[in-house]
This record gives sequence, C-alpha cells and structure tokens, in this order.
Amino acid sequence: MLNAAYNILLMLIEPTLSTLYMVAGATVFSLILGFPLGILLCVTSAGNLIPQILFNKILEKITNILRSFPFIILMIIVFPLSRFIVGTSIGTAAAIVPLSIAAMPFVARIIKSALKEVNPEIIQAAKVMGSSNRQIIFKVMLPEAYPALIAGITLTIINIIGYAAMAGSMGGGGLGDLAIRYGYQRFRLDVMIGAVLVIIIMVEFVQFLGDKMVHTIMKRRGLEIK
Amino acid sequence: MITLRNISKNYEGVQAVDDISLKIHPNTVHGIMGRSGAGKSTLVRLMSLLECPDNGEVFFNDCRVDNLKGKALRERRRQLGMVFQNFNLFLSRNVFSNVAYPLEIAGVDKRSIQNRVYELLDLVELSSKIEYPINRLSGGQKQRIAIARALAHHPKILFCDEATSALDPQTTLTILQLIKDIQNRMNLTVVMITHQMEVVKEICAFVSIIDNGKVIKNESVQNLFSFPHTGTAHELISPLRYSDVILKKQRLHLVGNTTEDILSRLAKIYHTNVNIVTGSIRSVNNKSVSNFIIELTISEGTLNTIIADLRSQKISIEVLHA
Repeated sequence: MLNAAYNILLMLIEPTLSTLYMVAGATVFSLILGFPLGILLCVTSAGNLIPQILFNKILEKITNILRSFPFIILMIIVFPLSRFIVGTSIGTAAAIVPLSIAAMPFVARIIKSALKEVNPEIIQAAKVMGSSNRQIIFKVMLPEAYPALIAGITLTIINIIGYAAMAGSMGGGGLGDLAIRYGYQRFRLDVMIGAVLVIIIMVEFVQFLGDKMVHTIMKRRGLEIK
Repeated sequence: MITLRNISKNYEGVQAVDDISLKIHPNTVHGIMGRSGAGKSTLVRLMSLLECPDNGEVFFNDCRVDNLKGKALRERRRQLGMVFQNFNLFLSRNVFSNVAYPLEIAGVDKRSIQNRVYELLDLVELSSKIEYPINRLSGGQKQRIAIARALAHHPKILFCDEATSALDPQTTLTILQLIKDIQNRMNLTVVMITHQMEVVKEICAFVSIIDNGKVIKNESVQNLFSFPHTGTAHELISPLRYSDVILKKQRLHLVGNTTEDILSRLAKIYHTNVNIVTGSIRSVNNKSVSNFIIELTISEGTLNTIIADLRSQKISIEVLHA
C-alpha cells in the first residue's frame, strides 16, 4: 500500500515539473503580450488618456475574437507557429506558445478593466500637476490599480493551469497528459486522482498567494478587508 | 495674473461657458460662485489648462497659454496648483510620496524632494503623519495634504475647486484659514470655485458670479454683499427658498455633551444669537451631561442644518414650540 503510494508520487514528480514549467512560461509570455495590449485598450478608449476611437474598436474586436477561440482549436492552428518558434509542435516548450496566445487576450481584458477602475478625478489631478501620459500610466494608473491587477493575474494563472492540463493531452506532457494516459487509457484511477490532486493544490496555492498579496497591499493602504 | 478673453466652451451642444472675459488680479483671492451647472467647473478646467476653449484666449501674465501643447503645456501646468472637492490623493502612495509626486515627475533630485516635502508638511502641520496611508486621514487632513501637494512646485496660482464642500463647517473654517495664511505668506493668487457663500465671505476679496455660462456679476466682495442687485446674486447670497427667508423664533431642547463651546460655535457658524432659556450640567458616571433649552431666531432651512449638525455630534435635540 505504502509502496504503491510511493510509486505514484514518483510518477507525479516529472509531470508536475513540466506543468509548472508550462504554466510559468505561459504566464510570463502572456503578461508580456497582454499587458501592453490591456494598457492600450484602456487609454485609447473614449474619454480616456489618449482617445483613439477607431483604433480602440479594432483592437477590442481582435481581442474578443481571440478570446472566443476554443483552446483546443487554437492549439491546432498555432502548431506551425510553435514549430517555427520552438522547433517542434510537440512537448512542453511547444505548448507554451498556444497557452500564451490563449491567455493574452484574457490578460489584456483584465488589465484594461483594472485600469478603468482608477478614479478619473485622480488622473485629472495628476494631469494638472504636469504629468506626461507615460507618467500617468506608470506612476498613477498602474500603482492605483495594483490590487485589481494582482487579483486579475491570479485568475489568469489559475486559468493557465487549467489550459495546461488540456494542452497535455495534445502532446504537451505534464499532469494532464499523465492523467489521460494512465487514468483514462490504462484504467489507473489512482494515478488520475493523484494528478488531479496536484492540480488542485497548485490552484489553491496560487489563489492563496494572490489573496495574500492583495490583502497586504490593502493593509498598507490603510484599508482592512476580511 | 490670469486674463480670459471672450472664451467659450461647448459640451455636446450645451454652452457651458459663453463668451466670458475675466481678469484675476495677482496676490488676491478671487471667488467664482454659481449654482451647480452654471459653468464654474468648465471655467476652472479652462483656466487650469485641462481643456482648450472653442473660442477666445487665456493669458497668464500676458503670455498666451490656451494653445500650448506637449511639453510646453506640461511645464505651464506646473506653475499652477489645484485642490479638489474629493481631494484626489493617490491611494497607492503614503502622505510623503503624495506630496513628493509633482516634484518626482519634474525630475527633482531625491534630496531636494525630501527637504521640500518636510517643509510643506510643516506648513500644513501634518509632519507627524508623514508615513501614513491616505485612508487613515480625516477629511480635513486629506485636504491639507492635497494643499501641500498642490504647493510642491511653488505655483503662482492655486485653484480650489469646491475645496471645502466635502468638509464639515468647523473643518471648512480651518482649511479656509490655512489657504488665507498661505496666500499671504507666499504671495499666491488663489481662485476659489464654490457654491458656498460662507467661503466667499470668509476669504475672497473679489467674486465673479456665473450663471448660464456667463459672468453676471464681477466685483469686490464688500460691494456684492452691500448691494446684491442681480437676480442670481441675490439668490446666492440670501437663502434660496422662500421658507428660508422667513426667520422664526425656534426653541430647542438639547441633551448630551453640550458645552458652552458648542453653543458659541452655533452662533458663529450660523450667524445667529443663541439665548439660553434654562440649562444645567450634571455629572453622571464622571461624564458631564448637559440639558439646555435654547432659543434661536433662524429660518426653517438653517434649523434643519443645525439639527443634522448637532445630531451628528450625538446630541439629542427636540424642537419645542415657542
């Protein structure tokens, strides 16, 4: 019994590391791509810092279309892109490409809505003091939106963990792959439960960390939240 | 100091500012008064270079400023300070870095920033709160910090946009006192936008009354209160509703921690005589509880304000029929 549990643990180690690798990579790249997009979506909207209505509308449309793509189909579509960037369309590194692309519009949305929450009067005050647009974005809007940004990024990472499991079944490796290969194809229910448990722990941990950070920021700002 | 020449501004079909020409003299406190929607806010947005007028020109010291763009505009904005009704402090920054912000964006070195911030916090008497988050401050303290921040880069002009409207009467007085003080000491030109005539009375030397986007009155405060001819001027200076015009003798029964202090404050803030009909102060469990019947000659509107004011200080109040 103990031996069996030990064996399952051993089996879980490598896929867990692959999943972590995929999630970390996709998080970094989706943030790199989504962050500027989110800022653009916000500041070019009507009545904001640099209103560019037509540009904003087109950007919104593209983001929405990307966001409504089913992930499985997106993965297949970007196979050639993965091959171009990573050199192969199979494996953990290759899965980071579709994961990043899938999470990018999500990140953009979250950044945009977090920035939109910033009190426009505060932005106006910064303007009167002679701030440039860049200073307003980086010294006022982003810091003011910090708690919402952290909460949003937490949500993004949790989503990516979910997608990463799916990517596993398409040759990406990791916990999703393990669960399918053993749990589904070889009727090893115990392995599947183990894999799912690890995923649940990951999600819980990320949520805990995000909540903790938001709480700390709120406390530093003199706002107590339960 | 500031000259507006025939400026107009239209917002989605509404003529918010309609051909206004106005001169604001240096080293004075100039009030801009009007009902909400009269065009005061638009006027101040034009003067503080947040908006460009559709027509007309804005001058600072004979220098045309309404057509500035980019860096020149930002440089020019740094010569003015602004204080708002809702303070608009940065919640992501503590007291120190709020006051430091204008200097930071102007590229001032760290040491000078620190010195200047200490100086400013001294001026508004809040040095002890330097590390505080903004949310831990009271309304009056927030406004003091906002004033310190507005003065950071030695502006020549300070705009106060309904700066005391969110504050209680007592705090309003102290903030006005502070502004008056600073104006004297720094030779500032202050533009006070307000709908409260107490504010105008308290610190302004000149006042312009705005109605429907036009200046309908522009003169010294002394003149205005002596001869308020124009309709809106009259309405703004005297209470607004008919029920507010009729003064009636009111008898009030107060129970609570009423001290003479509160009674004299009532007299001062509401410009009324307070007659004590009967009164006693007793000590209950080491706390003094007082029981007063006072008589005031006030309007219905003022009575309601006083009732709300006293209730907010946990004093139970009952209107007796005289």
